[in-house]
Amino acid sequence: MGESLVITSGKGGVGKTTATANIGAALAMMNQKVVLVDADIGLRNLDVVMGLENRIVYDLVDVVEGFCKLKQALIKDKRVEGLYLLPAAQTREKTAVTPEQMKNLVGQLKEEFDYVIVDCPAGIEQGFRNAVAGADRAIVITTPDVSSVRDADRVIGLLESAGFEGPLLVVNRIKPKMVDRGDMMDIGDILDVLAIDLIGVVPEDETILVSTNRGEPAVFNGSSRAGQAFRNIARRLRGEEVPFMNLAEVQGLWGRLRKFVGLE
Amino acid sequence: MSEKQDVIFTGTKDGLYLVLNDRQDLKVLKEKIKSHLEKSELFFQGAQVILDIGGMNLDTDEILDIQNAVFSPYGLKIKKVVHGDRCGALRRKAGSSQTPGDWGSASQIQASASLQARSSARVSEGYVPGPESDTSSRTERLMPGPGRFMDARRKEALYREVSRKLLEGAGNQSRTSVSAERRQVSGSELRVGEPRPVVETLLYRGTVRSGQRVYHPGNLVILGDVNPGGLVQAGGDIVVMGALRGIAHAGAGGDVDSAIYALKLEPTQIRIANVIGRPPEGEERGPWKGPETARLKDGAIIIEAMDNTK
Ligand SMILES: Nc1ncnc2c1ncn2[C@@H]1O[C@H](COP(=O)(O)OP(=O)(O)OP(=O)(O)O)[C@@H](O)[C@H]1O
Ligand SMILES: [Mg+2]
Repeated sequence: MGESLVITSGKGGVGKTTATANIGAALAMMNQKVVLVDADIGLRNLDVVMGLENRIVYDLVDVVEGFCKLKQALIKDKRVEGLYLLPAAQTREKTAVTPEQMKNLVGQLKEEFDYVIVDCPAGIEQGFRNAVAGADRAIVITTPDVSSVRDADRVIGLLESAGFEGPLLVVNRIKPKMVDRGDMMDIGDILDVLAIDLIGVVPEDETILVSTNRGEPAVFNGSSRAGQAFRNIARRLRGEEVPFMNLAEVQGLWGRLRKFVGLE
Repeated sequence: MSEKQDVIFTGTKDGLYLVLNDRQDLKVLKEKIKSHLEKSELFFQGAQVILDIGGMNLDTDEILDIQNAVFSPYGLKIKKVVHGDRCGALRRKAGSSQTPGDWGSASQIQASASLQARSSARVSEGYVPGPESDTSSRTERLMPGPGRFMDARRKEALYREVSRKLLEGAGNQSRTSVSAERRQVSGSELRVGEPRPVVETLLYRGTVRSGQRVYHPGNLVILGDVNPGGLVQAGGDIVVMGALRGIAHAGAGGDVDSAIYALKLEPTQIRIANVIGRPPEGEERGPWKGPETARLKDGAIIIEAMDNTK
């Protein structure tokens, strides 16, 4: 029986899809059997980020409505063993699926896979409720700006009332130089407000853009710093203790991390 | 704001608190709830609902029907049904004495008040009106429960019985645990200019996050932070044993002697009775200055270090 994770944020465009693709691919590279579920019905793009768009025949809504078997809708990644994608429907709406159906679907997938990773749409409406429905754990993505952190806080509150214990935090698009100049919230400020465990800090990195456009998750690129950060997140999810990278660059981070995450 | 809303949703840590306008037709209410659920942001798959039906008399079948026709499709479950008095005193008060602020309709406040009361039910197995509570009687029962709701006289009798038991029980406990557990359960009115009523204190454990609201008619202690976008309101004083970064409203019923205490006072806004204040703009936060308190002095909100207030 595997584990299901939902990757969510509240605010749009902060890197949920990027994180889903990269953490999923990184876990598969660690010999885990992984399925990525695109819950962003109507606005799918996990397939594009994964470079699997042209292989879609059936989608999540087809499965739920019984038009095809679950296995038929799963797309196997060509680059790494054990990585699959269940794409979202593009021509339907979030209401085409109920939370109950999502829960069943994720439950079925958990029997086959070590990790079921659900890419959540932005917002806190039905799409969000669908995405979190079957999840065991939640990863909340934020960027280091006030409005993104505010939305993350809102989402953490909603997750807590839905019974999630200990959502994990990823801070994406950190620009160490801006933090140094005080132009950006630093990690300590963010953790101060959100008060949940940090599982990764991903730097702003051009290779993400390139990899998005090519449909190649950055974790396949050995020299991408963001890719490295996502590989580290995957290892931490597996229970490994991995020191945070960029520590010297991110002002004041070390001491506060120790305080908040209990690194030893 | 004075118009009665038909359905009011309050998202809380424990689930959804839903207040229905008891003068509205049940069919209309069901439709309204449905359309709310369709677009509301406040609920979840598997969330539990506390349904406040005010003075309505609904039998088990009717409630089961609401469950099946309205909530089940959205994966919600009715946890219990309560009779709150949403159109109670606070509501009228809000119309007359509050600054026409944006802190929500009084019925929402009433709803949260009932919820706080509900949490006391864990201890007391039912609502107990406070010593000087007026007609704001409430009852509740678990879902699904026995047939019809009780009539008013039986309710009264039950209240008296439960209060007596509770007081007896309280005698065996230490002072602190009594106030922590008994919490405030009456929705009694707080009047402007009157001496402060005897109020109890609610202890709220946890962070009040963006979009969340905690209300208590008595004093309120938050064991955690109040984040930006979070709102805490109390009829009396508010103590935040953490950082207050959101909005705190003390003396929400008009008590100008109420104060706000916080270990770290960095609020978005402070409200005491009907005075609203915000931190000066463009001022750097600076290093932490220690616990501070906010109170009213000559009609203005002043902030002082905690040790100066003795
Ligand atoms: N660490 C990063 N460095 C540089 N660019 C990034 C980084 N993370 C994400 N991006 C870029 O930000 C954009 C939005 O990312 P993404 O699509 O993953 O966000 P999302 O949260 O899934 O958005 P939506 O809410 O629309 O689903 C993309 O163009 C992506 O390439
Ligand atoms: Mg996305």
